[in-house]
Amino acid sequence: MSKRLSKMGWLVLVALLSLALVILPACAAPAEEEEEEEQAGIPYKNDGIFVQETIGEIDTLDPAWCYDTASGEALYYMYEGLLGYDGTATNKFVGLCADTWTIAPDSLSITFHIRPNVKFSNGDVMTPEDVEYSLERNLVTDPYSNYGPMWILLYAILNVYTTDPSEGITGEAIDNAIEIVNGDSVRINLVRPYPMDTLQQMLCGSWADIVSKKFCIENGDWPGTWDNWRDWNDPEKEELKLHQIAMGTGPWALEVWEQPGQIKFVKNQYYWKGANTVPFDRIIIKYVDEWASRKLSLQAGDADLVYCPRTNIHDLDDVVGVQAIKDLPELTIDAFYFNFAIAEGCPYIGSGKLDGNGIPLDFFTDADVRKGFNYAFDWAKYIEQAMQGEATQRGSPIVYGLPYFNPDARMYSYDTAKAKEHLQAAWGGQVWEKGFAFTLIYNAGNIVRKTACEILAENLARINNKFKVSVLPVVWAGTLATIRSKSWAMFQIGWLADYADPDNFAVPYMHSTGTFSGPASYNNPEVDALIVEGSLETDPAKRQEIYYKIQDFWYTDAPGIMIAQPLGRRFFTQYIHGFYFNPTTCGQPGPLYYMTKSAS
Amino acid sequence: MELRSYILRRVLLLIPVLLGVTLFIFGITMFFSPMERATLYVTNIRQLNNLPAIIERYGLDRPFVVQYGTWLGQVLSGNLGWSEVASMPVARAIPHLIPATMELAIFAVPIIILVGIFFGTKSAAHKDKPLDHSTRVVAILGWSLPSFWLGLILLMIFYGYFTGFLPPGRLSIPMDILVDSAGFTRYTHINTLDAILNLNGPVLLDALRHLVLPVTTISVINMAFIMRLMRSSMLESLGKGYILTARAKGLAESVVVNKHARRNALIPVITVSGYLFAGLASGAVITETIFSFKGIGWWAWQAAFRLDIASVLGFALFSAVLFVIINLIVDILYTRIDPRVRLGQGVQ
Repeated sequence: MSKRLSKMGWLVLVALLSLALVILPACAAPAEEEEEEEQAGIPYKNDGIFVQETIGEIDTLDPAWCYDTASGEALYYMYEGLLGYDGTATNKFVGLCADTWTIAPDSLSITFHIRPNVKFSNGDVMTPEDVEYSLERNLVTDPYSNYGPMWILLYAILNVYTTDPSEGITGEAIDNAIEIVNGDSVRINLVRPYPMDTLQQMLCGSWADIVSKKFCIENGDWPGTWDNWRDWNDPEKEELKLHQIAMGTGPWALEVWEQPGQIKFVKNQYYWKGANTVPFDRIIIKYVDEWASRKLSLQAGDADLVYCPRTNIHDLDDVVGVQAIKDLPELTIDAFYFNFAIAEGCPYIGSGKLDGNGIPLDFFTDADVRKGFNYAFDWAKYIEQAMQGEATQRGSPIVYGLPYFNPDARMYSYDTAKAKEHLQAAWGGQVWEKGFAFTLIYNAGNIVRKTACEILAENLARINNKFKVSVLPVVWAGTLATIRSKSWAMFQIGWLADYADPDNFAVPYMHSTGTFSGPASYNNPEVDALIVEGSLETDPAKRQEIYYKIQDFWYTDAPGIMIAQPLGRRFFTQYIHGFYFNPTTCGQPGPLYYMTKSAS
Repeated sequence: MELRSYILRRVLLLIPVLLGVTLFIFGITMFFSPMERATLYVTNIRQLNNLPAIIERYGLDRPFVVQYGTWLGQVLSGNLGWSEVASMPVARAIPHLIPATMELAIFAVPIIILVGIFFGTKSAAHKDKPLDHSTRVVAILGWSLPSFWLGLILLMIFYGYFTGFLPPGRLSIPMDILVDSAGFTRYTHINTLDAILNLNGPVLLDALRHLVLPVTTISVINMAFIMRLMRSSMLESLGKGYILTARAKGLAESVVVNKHARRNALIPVITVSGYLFAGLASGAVITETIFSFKGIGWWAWQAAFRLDIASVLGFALFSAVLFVIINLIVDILYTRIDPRVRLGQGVQ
């Protein structure tokens, strides 16, 4: 008996030992915490290391493909372009890989003197050949089938949006656009005059990062020859040679990208400003999906910065030791868009007729409908409820922080009397008499957008109980597919700046081929002409005039309801110092090179 | 049937299983429009107008048979496709993500099975007594707890309230840097195992400290099931004639319970335990998400959510192979536990 009992006892012993093996170490004081310095609220940990916990994994490390903020942030630490933004300014620049530069009076070229003694993170000296190669390599790579970022430079330099063969672009054209002059400078030649402030902004982006020519070629990338450049053009992501590796001149170098989960950067020992000027030995970005986990990491001092969803921004209000930096005017804006030509078979428009149980396909072509909806939206309630009070109403896509933003631009306001007036006039009075019904979709899980939809739906129902708007969540994939196929009545979407120029907002929101205005079938030839004119105008005074007009067109045409420009927040521990806000900087931490971490 | 031919038969059976599983999953994804499936490649809203080009590039509007045939052709040539979620080829993503999941499974499964069997046996042997009642209450409680709730509560108490005591993730920052250094070899990417192989105590302790909460979460919930199963199986065994005979022969109750009854009662538990291991080894989605233990489960969930078909199919292949192998092991184990069982012939 005792023999059998001990057999089972052994098994349980093994189980309990396993449990103990897991639990007991927890009871021991962990080695890395022994030297922690306990401060008020949050312990100080990981000296010399900046740890960020955020969401959204990196897509790629290739500058020619990178077009998302997570990847952009990674590139920002490892690479530098010719220019960077000067502090908080979006229209003043400092030289990085270039030390001086000259703009031609005719706005047809810009010449950069390449900074001597800049080294890549492997110690190789960066040369004008590297700069020429980098810009050409990114243009050659142009992943146009996946809509990469290279359209930005292609449009500015070569007046085309893609390198698709149908655009007629040749290797020779790219080769001629970027050339080495005097052996120590690189000149960018434009095919027509272009606003140079805008071009300089564009050259601050990751799509203009300087890569090591030798490193690229050694890793099988474009060899710099033109007879077969199409072999490297428009690749699949899996064909990218710089997808997982990097060699830049930035303050940090890639240590390891542990997909998925985290990426680590280590100090670039050859940084041209001096390795001792780089404030962190390492940067670690962890991708943590769960907010509760990120919040606890900040409180435990395991993270120096965490991403906080808008709906949770008050969760950290009372946490001692958390440094909340508020009211950061981000270059982004959300808007409702009206669909001027809804696709046949759209499932969100009820009967498809103006009979009180649906809306016709061209319902929003009536300006009174659009204006009535605008007056029915309660911005104050939206900002209070959805944005936790941290947003500002804007009258057009050209938001505060962009050049030529008109602070006095006309805007709609919540006014039920005016809403009623317009809706009574809409469709010859039929809208008011018969009412309408349709479904307003938003991407599932986005509470901010859901709140906006509900505010609009409730207000319309209050104005006339025959106005029936239901609100429906749709998964993100479904939302995008629905928008693109025009099978919607109204949708809500936001835009984040590529570079701080009004053209970058006017095109997607207002040009007939724009990202949002295209699927919405908004088409005003006068606006289209102004947008093109504005993008090419080199005289700032004339540009201002053009963009003021464009902003006013949003009010008169009312192609959508421009909602609000959010004010961002950053949640650091109290040990992080030196943050300043430049809305064009990719990622949450901002200018890490200028920041420090100390227990004091 | 010989063991070798039995294994061969099972391996051959794997082929129709894999074809069936992938056909089924591929078929389900076809319910989504090409436009919806193309959004997988959209990482930026600016790509909205490029959806038709993406559809054309990846052939998402081709007939089902053509798309499946293309994928199958790729697989036969050793290419499982590209995982957008993991940003690497599927064939590389699976071995890359397995270690995190396996580490959880390796620690959780023995605890679940052994503790479950022990208390299940005790509960049955003391039927309707306080031990039985308390074990049943604990089992019901454990089984009823949603894992996301339990995980979050544990995290809030042991990481939040006792600041930093039992952290999420796989390693703390200093240890994480250490394992990437030249002085540490990552043989398996299972941190505990690598720490032992490197004879590195601090890394081992740190890895174990990070395992406490996720292993506890998984164990509490699954242990309850094994406990209940073992109890009911034991009760059935204890009611059999041979148990009566054993007792009539004057055998001690512990011998009756532990030798005669429990051995027979183990058969269904072993079956379930096999599937439990296969299930955990193919990912504990919620636990992996809450505790930032990004493994196969997290990957499969993200892939399904984003309609990353290549990843979903890769995961299905992996799971199917794993289940068939585990099933095979379980079948072989039957023959060890019950001599009446012959491979491929059931009970003789």
